[in-house]
Amino acid sequence: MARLVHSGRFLALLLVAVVAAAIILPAAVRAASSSPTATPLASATPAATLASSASPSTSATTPATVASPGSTPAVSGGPGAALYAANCSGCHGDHGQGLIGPSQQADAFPGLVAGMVVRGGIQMPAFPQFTPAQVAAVSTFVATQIAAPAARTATVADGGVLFRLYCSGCHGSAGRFGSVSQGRNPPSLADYPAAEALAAMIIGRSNMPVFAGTTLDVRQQAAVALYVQTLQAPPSPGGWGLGYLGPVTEGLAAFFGLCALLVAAVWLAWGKGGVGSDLDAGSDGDAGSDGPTTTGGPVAPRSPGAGWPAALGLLVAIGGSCGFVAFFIAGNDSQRIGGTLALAFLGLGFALAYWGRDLTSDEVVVGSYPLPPGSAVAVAGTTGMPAAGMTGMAAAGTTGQSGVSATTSDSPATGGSGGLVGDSASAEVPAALGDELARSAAVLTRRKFLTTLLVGAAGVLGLSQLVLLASLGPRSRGLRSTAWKPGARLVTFDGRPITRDALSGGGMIVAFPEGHTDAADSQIALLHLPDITAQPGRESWSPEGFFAYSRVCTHAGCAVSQYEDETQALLCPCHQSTFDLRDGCRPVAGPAARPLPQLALAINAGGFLVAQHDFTQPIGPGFWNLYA
Amino acid sequence: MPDDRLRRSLSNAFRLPRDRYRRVARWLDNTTGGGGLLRQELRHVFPDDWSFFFGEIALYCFVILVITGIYMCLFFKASAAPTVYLGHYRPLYGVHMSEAYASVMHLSFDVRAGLVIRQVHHWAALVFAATLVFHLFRMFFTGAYRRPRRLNWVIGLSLLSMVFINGVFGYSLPDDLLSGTGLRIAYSITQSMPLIGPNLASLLFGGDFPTTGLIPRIYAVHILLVPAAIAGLLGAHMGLLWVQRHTQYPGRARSHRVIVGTPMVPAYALRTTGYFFLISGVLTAMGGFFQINPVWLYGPYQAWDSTSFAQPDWYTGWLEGAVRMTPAWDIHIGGFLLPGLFWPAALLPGIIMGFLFTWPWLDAALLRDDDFYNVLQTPRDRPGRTAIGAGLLTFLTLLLLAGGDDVFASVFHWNLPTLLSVMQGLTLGLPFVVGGLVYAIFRHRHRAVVDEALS
Repeated sequence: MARLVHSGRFLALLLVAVVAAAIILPAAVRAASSSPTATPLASATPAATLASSASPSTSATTPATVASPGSTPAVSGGPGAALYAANCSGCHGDHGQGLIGPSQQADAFPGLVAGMVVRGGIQMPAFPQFTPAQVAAVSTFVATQIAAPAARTATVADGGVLFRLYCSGCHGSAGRFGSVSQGRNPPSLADYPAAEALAAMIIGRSNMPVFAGTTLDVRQQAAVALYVQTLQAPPSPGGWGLGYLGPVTEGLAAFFGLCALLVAAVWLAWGKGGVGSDLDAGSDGDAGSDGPTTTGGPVAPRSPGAGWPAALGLLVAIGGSCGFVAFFIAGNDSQRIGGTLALAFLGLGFALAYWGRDLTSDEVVVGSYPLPPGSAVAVAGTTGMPAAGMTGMAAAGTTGQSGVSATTSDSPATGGSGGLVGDSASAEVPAALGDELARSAAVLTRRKFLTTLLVGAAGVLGLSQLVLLASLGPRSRGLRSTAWKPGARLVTFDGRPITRDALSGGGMIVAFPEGHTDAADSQIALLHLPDITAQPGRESWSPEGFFAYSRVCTHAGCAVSQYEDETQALLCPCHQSTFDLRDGCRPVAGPAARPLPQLALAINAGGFLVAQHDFTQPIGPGFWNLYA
Repeated sequence: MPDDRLRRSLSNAFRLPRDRYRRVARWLDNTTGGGGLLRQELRHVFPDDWSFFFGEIALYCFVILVITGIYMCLFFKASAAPTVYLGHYRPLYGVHMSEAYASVMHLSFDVRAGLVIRQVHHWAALVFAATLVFHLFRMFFTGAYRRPRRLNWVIGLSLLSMVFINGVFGYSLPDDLLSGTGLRIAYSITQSMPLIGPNLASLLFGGDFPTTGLIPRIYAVHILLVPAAIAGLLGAHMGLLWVQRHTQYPGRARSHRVIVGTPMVPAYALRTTGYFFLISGVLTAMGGFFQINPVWLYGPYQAWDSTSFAQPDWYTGWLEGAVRMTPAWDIHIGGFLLPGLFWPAALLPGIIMGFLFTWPWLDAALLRDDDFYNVLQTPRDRPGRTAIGAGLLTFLTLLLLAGGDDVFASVFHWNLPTLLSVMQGLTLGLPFVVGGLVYAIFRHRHRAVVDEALS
């Protein structure tokens, strides 16, 4: 142990571990206490909560929503008015026009006002004596009766655009920090109610210029205040925000991540020729090791470790994989999905690494470097290599490229003869290789239970990754609806409505529902066939002899574009399916098996052709649950 | 019950009599003629030390980057065409933006696990670059670049350059406010080159900034050209490593001829596979719990918008620091202008990379030592080289820190102009102080070791 403590590598490991713990622990504590929300929109600031209690139309989860004018209950003459007259008008004026305090024309949202009343700001005192109901009443009064109506149309998205144009240059994108000249740094916007940002815009503050007036009108001020309100708790779907300091803290975190990997590297190298290995042990003589003194001689084997840590790791991998699948199906929560997947990887990784480190026989192999014949190789003294390292190794260095097994205790190795492959007859190569394969396999299968568990865990982890494919697209709608709605007018590809006068000279028009000339599944062939009788049950579908059929072939989905006038047939050019117009577009030749669906038409009061309703059966090619 | 069957079939597969393995081996040898080679390579020797894991981390980061990158390709839209955002993130609803940015928003908010995978990709890139720098300096301080590994040193440095370049491109693709700001600066740097600058910038960016053709170009380079180059260089790097064997630290039984370590099968193979999953696990945990590059907060790039704390990712941070600290050194040459941006952003990285690329030959020429070396040195063995490396590392670290000067000024309530002056002084002075101290200490210790050995 003394040897370990004196080792520089041990100290390096200790340092890395301490530093990593120092960064990870506070991070974990912060993450646990602030619990980053899964939905980016939920910003449960006290102000927003109060706002919701004041007016049911303003949802607490979306302070961003535009409160339409008049949707909040008018409280004119209510308790809000009295409270305002008694407590606010002295500074802000009877109509919020601004006296000592700033104008309130932009305070169009109860949440903004409520936060200011509760916390105070700049020179305005807080009003702790107000009950929540009173706060709500006065905030709603200001928002609905005092603020300018124009300000109520502000949206948070507008505010974001303005914030990036005028504010984030100093305050940063998250409104957390920012640095300007002379060290007069702007404050974090999270420390103040959003309405204070309004006040600062109106009256200026310290180094900050006035923005209200010509730069930002009342509506824009309100919009910026709304955006600032969302930044009170910046949306962090990705986890801990690292202080919202940008790539600087991200770079720092990456180095700590690398440190975590190096801790694993030190663990892996420990005892394997690294710290505390038999080869390093030398004359210290600890753990009863004599050290290798001759080629091919046995290195004292370290007894293999217990199997349960590897089994535990594999069980964690299985559990993590299952959790990953469950959380993936349940929703899009990055922390849960990432956390469980990480657990699965870490479990499998630990098990394999532990296996390679502690469950294989502790063997060390001696080989030789390829050197050009007669090349100058540095001698020991000039390289700082202990001269002792050369002793006894000359023979091994000349046996060719192959490795010489220097150990092992319990493996069915071939012993010393393996080193002479270069000299042995070619027929012996397969035999030696076979022994080598058998020996390697034996190391892996020595623990039957672990091998089984390993295959199982790797399989579960691998299969669990398949759920990621579900992200590739939304679920199929079942191909059961198109853009045809009751009363939808038929229009040509360039959007012109089609009247009852169309096709008087015969022919065919490709038609679409109005407003959906890009809807591939809604294309129809419109024909005027007064001589043809409608199918039974569909007599009302073809007014004045106008028939409409889906133009998507029921065989393979091509556009059924050929119309044969004499034979009264629609033909698909892809595979020559032929549909008989005289018989409800029943397929009469080619590979199509189902008729083209007919669209029920009507003629409206203006003489335009319209759809009665959508197709009554799925259009296009068949699929498994077509009849479901 | 299926468990039983599985176990039986497994043991049937592996626990064959030795004859059976010999038959497989004979078939292999007869089919490919590679039986001898395979047997030899099964016992390929890997020396053990924790500092040899930097390369493995880099390799596995690349694998993870490719996997997560392919996934993101399925959703990313490499287009600067204007669109209006109508997705689920309310604070940007109805805002005008490029299709590229809108698709990143879609990936982050609407694609299940999309944000996790995007974050894992970004974290992997940062860790990749970090481990390459550690790898580089490990090689430098231990003399691993010496003959016969000079070529691999050059390949490794090319890899490092490629990774840094591709990182910058990846940073630029989402077209958020930071991306666009970075590209604006990159355009200005290209423009600052003497003689060819303006035309080169226009050629590379497809016109005067901002151009709509840039994002598809960056995309092609980021996902195809540079990754292909990295894959090729990685193959060459590891091929050479395989043929030459890994270097080893001095120790009993080890020499420039004799290598001692763990055999590839089974111990090393198990450990390195396990390490791959450990790396995947750590990076996935970071992607799940630590938010990186919150593009929704930055907003879409507009040339008239800005954000404070505008930094590149850390591996470009040293250039950012150099750009921040270099005075306004515009030089007028007979009616032409050499902009001050040229010195820190174009000339400085050229000098540093040029020095690193030629270092193995410089070192050999200085020492008049052209021998083959397979045993590594310790930093103590070569106090002069260690001093140079420590000085260079100090210099680059100070540049990197200066790149975040506004963050430090804000967090620690320092005066920014004062901090800048201090950093300028430190950057010019401290590398020499550190180099000198390191030289003095290590020379003393080296002497002590030599004396002890002689006595």
